[in-house]
Amino acid sequence: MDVAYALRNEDLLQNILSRLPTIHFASATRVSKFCNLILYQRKLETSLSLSSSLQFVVQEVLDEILSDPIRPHFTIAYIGTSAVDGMIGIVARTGKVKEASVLFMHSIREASVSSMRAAYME
Amino acid sequence: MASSSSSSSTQVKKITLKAADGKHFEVEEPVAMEMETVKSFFVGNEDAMKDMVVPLLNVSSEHMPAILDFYRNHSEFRKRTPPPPAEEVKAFNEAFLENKSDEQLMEMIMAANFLNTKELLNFLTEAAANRIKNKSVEYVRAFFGIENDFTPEEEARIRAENEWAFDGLDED
Repeated sequence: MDVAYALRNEDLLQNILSRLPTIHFASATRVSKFCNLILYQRKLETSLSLSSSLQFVVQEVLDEILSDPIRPHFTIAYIGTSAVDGMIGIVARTGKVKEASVLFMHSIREASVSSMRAAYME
Repeated sequence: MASSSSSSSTQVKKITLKAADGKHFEVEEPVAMEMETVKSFFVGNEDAMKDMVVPLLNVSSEHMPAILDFYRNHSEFRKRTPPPPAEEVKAFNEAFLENKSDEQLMEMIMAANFLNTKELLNFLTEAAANRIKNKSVEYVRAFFGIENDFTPEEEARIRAENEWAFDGLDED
């Protein structure tokens, strides 16, 4: 109990849990309310694959997105041959603006989307 | 252990560190300076180095030798040209973690956090993450000494939300 308290106080629990790939992290959400809270932090993840095989592209992009803890509410995917301008959003977790210049597939969380909309509207 | 790089004839300065339980450790200055906490102790006060004892309140003497050994080896790895083969670093790291209980690992993580050394902290937290990968919720709770503070209803709801992630976990 002592250790758990100290870990939590010093952000160390978050440091350890955030090293887990998404699949394992998702199961860690059930450990305690605090662990669940860590995962609820919103973030924006983008990934790009330039492979010509569709199946490979999807797998590669998903693997990259899910290599960090994220709870994907949905993904925005762009698959095609022509370049898109890109996407600019505010990562809700850090408050920093992040640009994804070319998107094939986009995994994103709700809050990130609403802040992206807000950014577009302003 | 002797470093071939210290070819200068001047004696290496030593800094005395005091662990939480009062035990003193004499440490070569460059090794002590790997710890930001120790380093910041001397900023603007370099003259004090000779006779000051630096108290390390959150580090038990049990872990000091291993921690110092990590600093010595890793700073040597960094300095070496050509860089050491990955297997050599890996072998050292694996030996470092061998026979360390989960509890000892946690204590060292807290020590590394207090000493403010990113390299050691990253290494240890990565090791902790590896130990709970693929483990059940109950296992992770026990690992960290965390109590389940969900009501059964809350837990069922979260489980349902993340159902996709609960396949393929190891048996404890």
